[in-house]
Amino acid sequence: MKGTLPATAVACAMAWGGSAFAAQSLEEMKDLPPAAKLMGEQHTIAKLPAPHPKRVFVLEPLFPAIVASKIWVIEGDKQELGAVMSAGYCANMALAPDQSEIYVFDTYWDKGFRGRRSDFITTYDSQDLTIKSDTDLPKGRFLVVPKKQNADASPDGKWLFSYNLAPATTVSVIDAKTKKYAGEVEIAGCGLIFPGRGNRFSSVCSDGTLATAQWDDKFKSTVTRQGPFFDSENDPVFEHAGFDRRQGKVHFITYDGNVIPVDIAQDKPAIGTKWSLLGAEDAKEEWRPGGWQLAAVHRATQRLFVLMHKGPKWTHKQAGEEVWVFDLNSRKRVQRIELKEHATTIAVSQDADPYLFTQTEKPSLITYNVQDGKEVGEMSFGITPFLMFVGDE
Amino acid sequence: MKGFMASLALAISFSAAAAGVETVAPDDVPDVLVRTQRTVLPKVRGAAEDYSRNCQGCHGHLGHSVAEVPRLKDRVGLFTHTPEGRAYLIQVPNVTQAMLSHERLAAMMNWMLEEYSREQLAPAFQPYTASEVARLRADRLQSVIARRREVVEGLLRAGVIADADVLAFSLEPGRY
Amino acid sequence: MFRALEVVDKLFERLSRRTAQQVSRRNFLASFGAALVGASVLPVLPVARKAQAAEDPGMAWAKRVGAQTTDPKACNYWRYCSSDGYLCSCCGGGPATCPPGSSPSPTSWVGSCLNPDDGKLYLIAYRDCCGKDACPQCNCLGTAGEMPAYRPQLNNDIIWCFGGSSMIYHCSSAAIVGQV
Repeated sequence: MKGTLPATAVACAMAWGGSAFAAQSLEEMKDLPPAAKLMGEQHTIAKLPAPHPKRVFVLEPLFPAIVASKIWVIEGDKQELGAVMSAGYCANMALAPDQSEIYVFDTYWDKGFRGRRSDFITTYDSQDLTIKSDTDLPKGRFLVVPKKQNADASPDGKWLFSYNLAPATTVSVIDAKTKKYAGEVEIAGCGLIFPGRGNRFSSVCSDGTLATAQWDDKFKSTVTRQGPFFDSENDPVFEHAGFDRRQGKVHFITYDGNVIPVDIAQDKPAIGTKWSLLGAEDAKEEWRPGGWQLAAVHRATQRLFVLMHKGPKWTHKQAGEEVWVFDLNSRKRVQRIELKEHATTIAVSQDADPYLFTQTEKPSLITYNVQDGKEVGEMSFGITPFLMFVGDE
Repeated sequence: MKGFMASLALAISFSAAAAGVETVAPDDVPDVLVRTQRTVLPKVRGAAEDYSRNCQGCHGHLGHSVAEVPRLKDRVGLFTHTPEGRAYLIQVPNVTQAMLSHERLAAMMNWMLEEYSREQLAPAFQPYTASEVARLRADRLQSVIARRREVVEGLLRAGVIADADVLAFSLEPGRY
Repeated sequence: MFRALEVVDKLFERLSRRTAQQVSRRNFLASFGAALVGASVLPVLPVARKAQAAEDPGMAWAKRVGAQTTDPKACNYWRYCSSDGYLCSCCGGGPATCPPGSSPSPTSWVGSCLNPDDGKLYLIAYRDCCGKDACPQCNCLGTAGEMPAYRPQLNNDIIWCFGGSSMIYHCSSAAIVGQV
C-alpha cells in the first residue's frame, strides 16, 4: 500500500483548528521519517462557537450519583450537544454577564464521597471550557437540590455570590475580577440572592419581608428590611421567580398564582402591586403555577413565562402542562403554549425570535418556537436535569 | 434488630412515663412497623408540638444536637438573666419568624425553657407574655452573630457565666 | 363559618358528651377527616372551595394518593406525604433505620402526615441517612405543607445531613416523632 495520505484527511484535520499535534501539509509530510507517516489522523480539540442567545446550559445534579453533577452545554439553535462539563456535589453555576466565563460553585470530598470537604468556585473559559482558576469558599456553601438564586454573578460583572446555610444563613461575596474572597454578609432568617445594582443584593425572608444588603469598599455591610410583601404562611413565593436580571426586576410568583413585582434596581427596592395569573375560569379549573425553575422573562418584549398545571394546593412541584405567557405591562395573558410533555423547568432565549426551552419529566429537552408555539425539537440526555441558564438573561 | 428495637421502645416508654408524657401503645397505631417493632410513641400536643414543628429538627428532642446548632439543654436558661439576653431569645431569627402567633410563641418558649433548662433560669424569671413577644418581634436584629456576642459579654459582666466558652457553639461549617 | 364546620361542631358536642373524653377540637377534626376519605358517610361533607383550602395538607395528600400503612417501599406509604428522595426502605433500611454503612443525621425537618387508618395526624421527622453517595431506588416526592428553603424548618430540598458522618446524601427516611 502506498504511504500517501488522502488530501481530504489532511484538509479535514487542518479545518478543525486548535490542535494537539501540528497540522501538516502533504509537502511537509514527504520529508518525514517513515514512522511519522503512520500518525494518520491528527487529533484536535473542539471549541464552542462564540456565545449566542440559543445556547442553553443544563445543570444536572445527577441524583443516582450526586457527587458527579453535570452541566450539559446545548446548542439550541442546532439542537445539538456542544459539550458536557463535569462537576461535584450539588453543584450550582452562574454565567458571567459578558458571557466570557462560566462559574461553577462546587463541593467535593478528598476521598470522593468521604474525607475532608472542600467548597470552591471554579472559573471556566466559556469557549474552550478550560479551567482558569479555583477560588476557595472558606465558609462552605449551601447543600441542597440546586436553585438558581443560591449562587449568582452581579449584572455589572463585579461580584460573585454564594449562599450558606450551616444552619446560620449568610452570603459569601467574592470579587469576580480578582477572585478574591471578600467575606460574608449575614442575612438572618432569609435566603436567595437577587443581585441588584452596585454592591447590593436582595433576599427573601421567612416572615415575608425583603432584605437588601449593601457593603462599602471596606466590606462593612448593612441589611435593611421591607415589607412583608407576601403572605409567608399561606401563600409563599416560589424560590424561582421571573427574574429580569439586567433591569433588576424580580417578578415573584406565589403558590396560589399571584405575581408580586419588586424593582431591586432602585437604591431602596420598590415593591409593586400584586396581580394574579389566574382569571375566574382558571381558578375554577384549579390552575396553578408549579415545577422547579418555573418562570422566565423575555426582557425585550417584557413577557413573563410561567409553567402551569391543574391541581390543588400543595402541588407546587408538580410538572407543568402548559406555559402561560403574560405581557408584564398590561398584566394580561397573551399566549398559552401547550406542552407535548409535562415539564418542570423552563428558560427563554433573549433574542428577537426566542426559543422556549423546557425540561420534561422523561427527561428530555423540548424546544418550542415562542412565536407560533410549535416544537423545534426534542433532545434526550441526562437523568435528573434541574436548572437551565441562557446568556444575557 | 427486632430485639434491639423492642428494648429501645421499652426504654422510650419508661422514660416517657417517668417524664409524665402521655404515650400511645403500639397496637393503637395502625402502622405495620410500629406494631411489629412495638414502638411506643409520645403524644405531642400544645407547646411541645410547636417546639417539635419549629425547633426540634435542628435543636433536637433532647435540646441538643450538632455542633453547628446552639445547645439549649442546660444552657439556654442562662440568657434569661439579663434583659438583653431575654430579648435576644425571642429575636433570634428562627424564633421571631416562626409560623406561630405571639401567644403560641410565648407559650412555646416558656415550655422550652422549663423543659430543657429549668435549673439555669433567672431566679425571678417571669414567663414571656404575648405582648412582650409582640414588642420584641417588631424589632429585627440586623446581625445575630454580633448581638449574641454582646449578650454573652453582658452575661459575663453580670457574673452569670464565668467563661464565654460556656455559651460557645461552632460558627464554622462542618468539614465532614 | 361554613355549614360543614357547624355540623362538625354539633357532632363534636354530641360525641364528647357521649364519650366524656377530653378530646381537643383539633384532634377531633383530624379524626373526623378520616371519615371523609373516599365516602359520603355524612350528608354535609365540605364541598365548598374554601372549606377544602383549609384542609390539612397531610390530609389532602393522603386522600389524593390513597395512602396506606402496610408497605413502606411504596411512595404512598402514609409517612411519605412530604418526603423527597430515595426511600431508605428500598435501600436496605427502613423509615427509621439507616441502611448499613450510612448514618442518620440528628437534624431534619419536621412535618406531619395523616394516618389514613385512624385519621390522626402524626409528626414525622424527615431525617436523611448520610455518609455515602445516593442509593438510587424508589424516588418519591411528597410536598404536603412543604415550604421554600428560605423557611428551612419546613423544606425538604435541603440536604439534612448536618452531624451525619458526612454531608453526602444516601437516602430519605421518615421517623415518627409522635402523635399530634
